[in-house]
Amino acid sequence: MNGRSPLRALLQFLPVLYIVSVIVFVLVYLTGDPSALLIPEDASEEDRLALVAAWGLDRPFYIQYLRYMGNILTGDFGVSYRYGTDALPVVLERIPATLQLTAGGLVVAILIALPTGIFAALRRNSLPDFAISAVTVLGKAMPNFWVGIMLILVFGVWLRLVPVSGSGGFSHLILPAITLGTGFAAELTKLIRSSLLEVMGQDYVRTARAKGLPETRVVLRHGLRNALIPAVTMTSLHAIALLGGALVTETVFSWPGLGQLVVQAIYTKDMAVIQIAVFVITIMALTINLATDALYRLIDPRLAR
Amino acid sequence: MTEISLISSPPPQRRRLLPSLLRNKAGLAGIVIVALIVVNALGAEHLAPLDPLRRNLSLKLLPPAWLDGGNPRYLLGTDSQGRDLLSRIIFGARTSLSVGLAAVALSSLIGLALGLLAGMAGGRVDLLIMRVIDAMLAIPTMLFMLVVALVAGSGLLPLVVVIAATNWVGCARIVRADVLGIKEMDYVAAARASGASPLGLILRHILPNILSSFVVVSTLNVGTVILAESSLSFLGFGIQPPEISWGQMLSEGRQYLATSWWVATFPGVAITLTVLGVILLGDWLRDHLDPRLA
Amino acid sequence: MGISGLLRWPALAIAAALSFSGLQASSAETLTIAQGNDILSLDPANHGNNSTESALVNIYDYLVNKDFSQGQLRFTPRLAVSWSSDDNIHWTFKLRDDVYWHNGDKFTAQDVKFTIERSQQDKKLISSAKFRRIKTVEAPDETTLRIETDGPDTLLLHAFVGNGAGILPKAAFEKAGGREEFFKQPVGTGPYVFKRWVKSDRLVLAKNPRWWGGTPKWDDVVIRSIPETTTRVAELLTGGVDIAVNIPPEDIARLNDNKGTRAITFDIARNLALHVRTGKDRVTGDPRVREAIDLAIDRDAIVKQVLEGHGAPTRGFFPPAIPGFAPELSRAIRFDPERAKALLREAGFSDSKRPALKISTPSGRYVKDREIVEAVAGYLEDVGFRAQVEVLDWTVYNNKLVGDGFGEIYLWGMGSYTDASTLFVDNFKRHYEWSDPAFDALAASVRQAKSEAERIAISQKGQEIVADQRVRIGLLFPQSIYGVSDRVVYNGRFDEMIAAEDVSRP
Repeated sequence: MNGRSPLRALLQFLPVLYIVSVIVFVLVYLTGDPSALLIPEDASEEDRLALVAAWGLDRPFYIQYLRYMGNILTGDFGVSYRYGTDALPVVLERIPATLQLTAGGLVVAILIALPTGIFAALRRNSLPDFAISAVTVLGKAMPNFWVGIMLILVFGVWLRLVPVSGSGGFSHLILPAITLGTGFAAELTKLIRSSLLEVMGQDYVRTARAKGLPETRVVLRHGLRNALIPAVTMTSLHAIALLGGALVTETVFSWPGLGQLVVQAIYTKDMAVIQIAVFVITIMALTINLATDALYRLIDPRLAR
Repeated sequence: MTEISLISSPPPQRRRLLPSLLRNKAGLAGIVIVALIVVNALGAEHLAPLDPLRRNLSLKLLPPAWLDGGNPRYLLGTDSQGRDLLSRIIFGARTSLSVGLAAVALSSLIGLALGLLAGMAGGRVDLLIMRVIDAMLAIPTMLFMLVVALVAGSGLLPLVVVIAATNWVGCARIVRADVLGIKEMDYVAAARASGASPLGLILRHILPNILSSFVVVSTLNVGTVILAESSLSFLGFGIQPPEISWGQMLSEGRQYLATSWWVATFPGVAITLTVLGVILLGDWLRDHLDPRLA
Repeated sequence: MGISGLLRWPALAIAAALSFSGLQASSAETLTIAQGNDILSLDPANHGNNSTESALVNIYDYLVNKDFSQGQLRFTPRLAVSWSSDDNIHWTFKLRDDVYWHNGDKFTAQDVKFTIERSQQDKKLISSAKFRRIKTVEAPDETTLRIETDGPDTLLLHAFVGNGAGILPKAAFEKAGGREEFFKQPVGTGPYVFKRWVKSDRLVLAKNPRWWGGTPKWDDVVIRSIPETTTRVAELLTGGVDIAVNIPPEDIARLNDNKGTRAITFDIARNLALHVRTGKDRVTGDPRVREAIDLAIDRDAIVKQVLEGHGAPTRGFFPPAIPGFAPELSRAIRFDPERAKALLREAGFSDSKRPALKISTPSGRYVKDREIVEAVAGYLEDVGFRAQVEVLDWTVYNNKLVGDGFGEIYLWGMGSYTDASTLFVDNFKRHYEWSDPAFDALAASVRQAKSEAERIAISQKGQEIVADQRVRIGLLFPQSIYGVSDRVVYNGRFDEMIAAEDVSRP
């Protein structure tokens, strides 16, 4: 993907978007119609059927799909069954919270992983190195919601250091960002350590070392730049995964992001919202990819060719 | 997207397992943990002290035996239905491992087949498979799993299908990348030039060469799947009773974390320990099979 | 000072330095309520959801109040001061003359007429069927409303409370140019004015200084959505919210032990019952088997041990406060496993030939739903059944309900009703595969009942038939459990609406 033009990348993504929309439409259609979830509890079967007819949910599959695609081509992204309003703004208004949380999680992970990864590489096979390995593996092995709830109980309820949940100030971001960050920090630490070690064995690094430069400088000057490329790759892949995939963390902390929206949309079979959300996530993923490509060139000008 | 390929050119060297294992303490720990869990899963009937399904409402939420109010019959305490936690965890090992192994086997098979196909056939076939893979990567995994779960229902088999339906992508990408790398190597190119059939080529040259990275990825995947099962349980799509799984126990026990911590803590420890063992084992396998990083 | 005390000092210092808004939310004039899910819509006629209505009652007013505070449903004046009808067909409502909309317009009978007709005309609205029995609405002057129903309708007042009953402003709605536009900044007559709605997070309301009922008690009302129970409890414990709904029974002691919080429990409009197939191809097609199920379940023990006492055992389907409550069904409930075993033997079953059945339940939808069903399955096993429990996600559960995909038995927690005649709304052919001439006759006549007493008698008779034939086997009336901060005084409401005006300072 390195070095391709943004326009070509965009064109390549159109068929991907189309495949995504078909997969999602078919799957959501297969889950059945949402009427039973929408009607009031004391409504009758007649009331339900009237609603089904009003929404056109009793039409055959291909008609629903054609109508849906036709609407999209005319710029009408459909109406959310759940909210009863246009689905597009319902999705778009979640983006700021999602970006905050994604960025928060990545920052936490990088803040942990960069120093510990370098440290572990410098002191490889020492006791601290083993300790770091053990902790990072542990961070990856714990279920996400479990970490989140424990953080709430310890830092929210017991120590009362930070707000427990919701969105608002910076302090609200702390616990969910840590929850998201720890698992990824583990992977990133390991990656930074191993790519540093890999670089260290290479000729030009040996030369630098032979010149009598101190080990720390050798590592930081020569090792880090090379280690950054895989780290950036992994970070961007992870950022994409977080855009709509932080739903467990969002639910635990009642964070109003895309993940929670889509989970609820799936529960209520809110087709328009699911489609647009996946659309939006795909486009954001594409943007992150393009940004990553640009970042590669910044780190290593040789790739710009 | 840039691939993090686990192995590229050098054909694996055969190194002896045991000395390597003894040198790598973490790998040893991984093997021991995994072995213990496998023994638990296989011998659950003989190891579990009590019937894991037997409820006794008057004994609900008993603390572990060593705490005040604990009952020596229930070593790790009881859950909200008064069932023995230890026995449930032992039986849960069976479900968690079966789901892990079955889902990984299925997704690895799909991934291997599609990866081989894309790598060997090239051209339009490759393009189509790569587009589908791109589409799969664009849909957030958990969301995809949720929708598939809504269609497939909940239970052991649907769960395996749900996880496999999303998990094959990584495997397919790695296999394809490896195939592309190996295909260009001299001796493979030579075999091709001398008219070897594609199937022979796959069996003789490609498969042995990608085997190691395949094994590593699959091993690490077992950990991912066990975690995915717990996340799905959290969101309401897990194994259902009378089947017992750790994810289900953890998810159901989480509302008691502040009042009866043991109900969720022990299954949580079981999950963490198992995933830990699998990761350690996978890392060691990687170091052993792919000495480049050792 | 223990470890926690030692840790707390630096912790407090940092907390003070951070100065976060979580604590500011609990300043003296703001009421913060934590619900288990987000509101679905600001349109009172388009949500079908209890907790959404609970938030909207602060913005919009009903024509009449439903008042359960005396243990029986009574209708009291709200926007209407009085109402009358000689034949239950022609109705006259007298409206208040001193009510203004949040935008300053005056409230008139035209607004009520508009609300009813909008709902009837827009079939896509979820509560579109709400006013189906109203034939014509007239507003002869600003404070008079005349309604004609399509026949004697003793339930007309019920249509003016609950989901879809909030009155909307004709002029403001039409000026906004459509539903979507109007509900961006909705206008009501209620004690609180809409400020903003951050979806999946919070609804923020502010005091309406010109409210017809006087000066509202709170400057701001924040209604938060916190789906995870542990998090909701944690927010209450740390002072982030004043009222938290749906607390598990196990946490009651914890809330009461914690300084500054307590748990409240109260009766609600809901019942849990097993809904049973009676088709001949099922083991439950045999009435003796159904009776055995009824007798095998120890409802007392379930209430005591699973709900920690916060409920009432019953064989019935509507709690005492609901018009049409059938008292017989909550009296002298038999638990007789020996008789149940005997019945199974009579039906031709034995230890080597055990009747197998499947019971489905959602998980986390009703208080302790899964645990209750697992306990029921345990009792059924005790008398010789082979009971398989199926736990399903709520979405899948509803699919199965609509698609008639359940096994022999499923758990259903009907609720949010205001009258026992709701029983007749269900289609007993689906799932139950049941029909009974006497019951069908009652169902046909209930809508035409000439008086309240006649309707109640029909409802009670209907419930007895359903209970005696064990088409539905009532289990219990659950209570609701809320966590409440000592900063506020609140006792809970039978209809589970949390009107901020019902909450006061100590």
